[in-house]
Amino acid sequence: MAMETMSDVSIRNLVKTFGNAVAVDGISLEVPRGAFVTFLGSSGCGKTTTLRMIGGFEHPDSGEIYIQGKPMGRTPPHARDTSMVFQSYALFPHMSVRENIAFGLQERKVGKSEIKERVQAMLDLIELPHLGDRKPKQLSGGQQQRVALARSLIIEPTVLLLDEPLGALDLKLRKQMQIELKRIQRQVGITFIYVTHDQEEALTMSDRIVVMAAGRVEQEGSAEDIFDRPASRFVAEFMGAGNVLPVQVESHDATSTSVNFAGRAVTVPQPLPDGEIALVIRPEKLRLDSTDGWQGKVVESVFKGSMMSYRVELTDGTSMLAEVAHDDTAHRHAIGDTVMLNFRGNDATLVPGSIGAG
Amino acid sequence: MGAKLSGRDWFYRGYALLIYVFLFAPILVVVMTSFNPTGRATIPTEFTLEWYSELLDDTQLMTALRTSLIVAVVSASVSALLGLSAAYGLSRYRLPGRGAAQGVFYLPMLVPAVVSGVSMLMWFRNINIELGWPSIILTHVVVTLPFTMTIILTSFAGFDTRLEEAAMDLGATPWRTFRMITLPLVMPGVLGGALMAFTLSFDEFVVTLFVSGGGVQTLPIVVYNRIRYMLSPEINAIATLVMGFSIGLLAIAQGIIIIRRRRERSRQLETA
Amino acid sequence: MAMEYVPNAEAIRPRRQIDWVPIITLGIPTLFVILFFVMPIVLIGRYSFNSIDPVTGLMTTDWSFAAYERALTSPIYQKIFLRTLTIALTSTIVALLLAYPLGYFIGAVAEPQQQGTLILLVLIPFWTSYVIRTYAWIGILQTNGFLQEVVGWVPGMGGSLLYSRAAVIIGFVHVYLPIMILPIYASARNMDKRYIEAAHDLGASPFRTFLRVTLPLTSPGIIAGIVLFFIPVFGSFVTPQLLGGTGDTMMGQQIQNQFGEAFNWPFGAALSMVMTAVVLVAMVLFFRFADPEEIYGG
Repeated sequence: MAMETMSDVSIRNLVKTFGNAVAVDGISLEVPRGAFVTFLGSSGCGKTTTLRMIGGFEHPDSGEIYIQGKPMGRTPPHARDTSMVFQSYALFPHMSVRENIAFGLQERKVGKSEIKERVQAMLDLIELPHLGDRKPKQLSGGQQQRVALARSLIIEPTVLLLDEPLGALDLKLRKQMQIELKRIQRQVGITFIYVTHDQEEALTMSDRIVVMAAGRVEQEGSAEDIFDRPASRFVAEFMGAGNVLPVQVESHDATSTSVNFAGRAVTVPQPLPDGEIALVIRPEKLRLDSTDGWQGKVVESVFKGSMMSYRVELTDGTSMLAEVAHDDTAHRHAIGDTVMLNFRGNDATLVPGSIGAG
Repeated sequence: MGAKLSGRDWFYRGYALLIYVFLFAPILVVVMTSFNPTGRATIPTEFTLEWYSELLDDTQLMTALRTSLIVAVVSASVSALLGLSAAYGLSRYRLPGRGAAQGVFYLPMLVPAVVSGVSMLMWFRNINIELGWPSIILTHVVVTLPFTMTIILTSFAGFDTRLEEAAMDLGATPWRTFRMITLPLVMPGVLGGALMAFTLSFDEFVVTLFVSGGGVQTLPIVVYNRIRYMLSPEINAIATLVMGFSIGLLAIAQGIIIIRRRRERSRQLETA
Repeated sequence: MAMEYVPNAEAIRPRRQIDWVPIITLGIPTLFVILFFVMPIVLIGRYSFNSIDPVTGLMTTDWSFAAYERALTSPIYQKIFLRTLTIALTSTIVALLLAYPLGYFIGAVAEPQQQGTLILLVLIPFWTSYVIRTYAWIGILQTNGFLQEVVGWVPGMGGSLLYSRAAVIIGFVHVYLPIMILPIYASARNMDKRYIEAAHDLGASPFRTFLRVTLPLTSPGIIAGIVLFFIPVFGSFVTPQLLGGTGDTMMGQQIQNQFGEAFNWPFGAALSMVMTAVVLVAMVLFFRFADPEEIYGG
């Protein structure tokens, strides 16, 4: 299968049920070699189950997983060229940091002196060179996280699987570790498959994002694709689009669609999607002191540090969320102020899905 | 304790003291009598080691002590092994019949010892198992198994199965995973269970009385027969030694727990 | 990079593969217990439906309820059964009255750092051989024994307490008191003390507080203690044999007697079944009224 050499992992029509619950409902996707791919979705969307099937901890009911072109079937985890970083780290509590990291090499019968060297190299990579003799319990959450990463990386897997590895850390540490993870991934050049429910985390680290819902793939693409051009109402809302608005189609051609939103025409440079549609516009793309546009009233204002967040009610009753940079260039609005709201059609996206539905 | 004690506290303290006296008095009487030249349970006026030296020459008691130790070591080991096997299965087995299997393990704990004793005696005769070493050891394994299994099961209860997944993921076969990860982590439970089984087996009397067949006699059997049929002051001496041994074992077990806790605490302080 | 899905042989697999490891690890000990414990009980159960041929004196294997009929209707055995129940219940009540204040003291009143030591002191006697502990009471209770010498006064009628029902009850209470204290201690420790403070705060007298708050909150421990104490006492055979009078025998001794001296196996078997049934019923009631997890967990 020559065409698969580009992919480290290919998944074909994967299905997995637990009792009556369908966890994964026919997923197919390709993970390119050396990429940082994120499975993004809320809990129960099938992302972790898919990851566990790639690792060999669960077996699919039907469908197949190929790793570097080889079908995995029921190959057990220890015979797969993948390695998993668990959400709870799963560090062996009775072993020191060094013993934990060395474990995979020992199981592969690597020579003692080589193990010693490679473990030290790993400790350097994760920037904990002096903590090798500690027990996992004596480390902080972030340090445990790095050790778990080192323990998986040392066996040089084809694919590293990461199951919400930053979930247990506090926000500040998480931000730091996101950058750190990306650095390590670039340095070792291994394919990472990362599972998270945090869209910001996904955007920060990923080369490709796979948005999942109800056991299916909703959208697959680069971070920019997913963020700027959500393919469905679900993706738009999951990525925090803020404003998903009802519109009527006025006219359309091969490259653009004109819609009527609250009495004014908006032209979006995008062909008309099938079925019912909604207009998506992010809060930070809205301007409030325009000379032309929709008239509205500020009903709520929240200070968010670098941003001011306003809720604006248009004259027809539509409620919209706007975020404006909080600096001296922007005028501040008080509750009750009348504003002139506007946005560019180029910043908006049309997605399938009606407004009343959810 | 700088706080002033209320009347209620004094009541509790006095009451507790009385109960502890009641619990320990018989033990102290035995210990005292073992050093009493009269060999009777009276307040001693003189001190002697006579009964201890006679004990050393009492081949029946010494043989029984040896028998009890061998029985306890063998049956505690087998019981811990079977208990480990059962606890592993119970914690991993998710198919129907699990509850029933667990219930079967608890049966020997619930059935009165006399009933267990006669039943096993009749059964061993029926299936031609020799009354003596084999019957005694089999009995002790069955009787101690619910305890070892329960203790080991508690170590499995807090076990994070992702540790096993992580080990397999890193290339360990299922057997290596068990050997390197599972076993070391449940080992405290296994040792605790074995210690419990050892003590229970060493003290087991009623069931053993039925299945021993008379040829092989454990220490409680000999002690019982002496109590019933003749005056034997060496009993106090051996009882003192055996109690000292049991309390020593308990103290060691407790000591290990305390040292572990201290270590944990100092570790936490180190990282804090 | 999209690809057409081509069904292949590897993709179609059985839904579940049976994992044999837990089945074997659970199976071996289960078979062991079935072979060396369940089967013996089944055998005795079968014996209980046999009868003794009055002519030859041998056991016949025809199904018969004769042994049960005798066990349940004979006035002698009804009396022994009732006596066993009386002794067991009296011991249980005495033990409960002694154990409750101590268990409550250790669990709810004593300083937390002292609790471990106090419980260890309860456990130490429990870890010493019960044959030896029962034997010790002979020395204490016999004529010219320790008690007589220390107290200088002999309770009871005339001579010694030994070989009386009182001696048997003292023996039982002493031997099994720790297993009554432990669950009471556990439930007293797990009890939220703020309830008691709240009751006092609301103006309840100490006695009312105890009746309405403390007692219900520690009742799981009380129930567990009663059952755990009652079961071994009801089936006991050593304590009445060593400390009791020959005219005041208990059920356990009768069973031993039927197999050891009377050689009436069917009857001994029927008595065994009745006794086991009583214990199992007590156990079932225990599980109905108390959640063991609640008592020992935490």
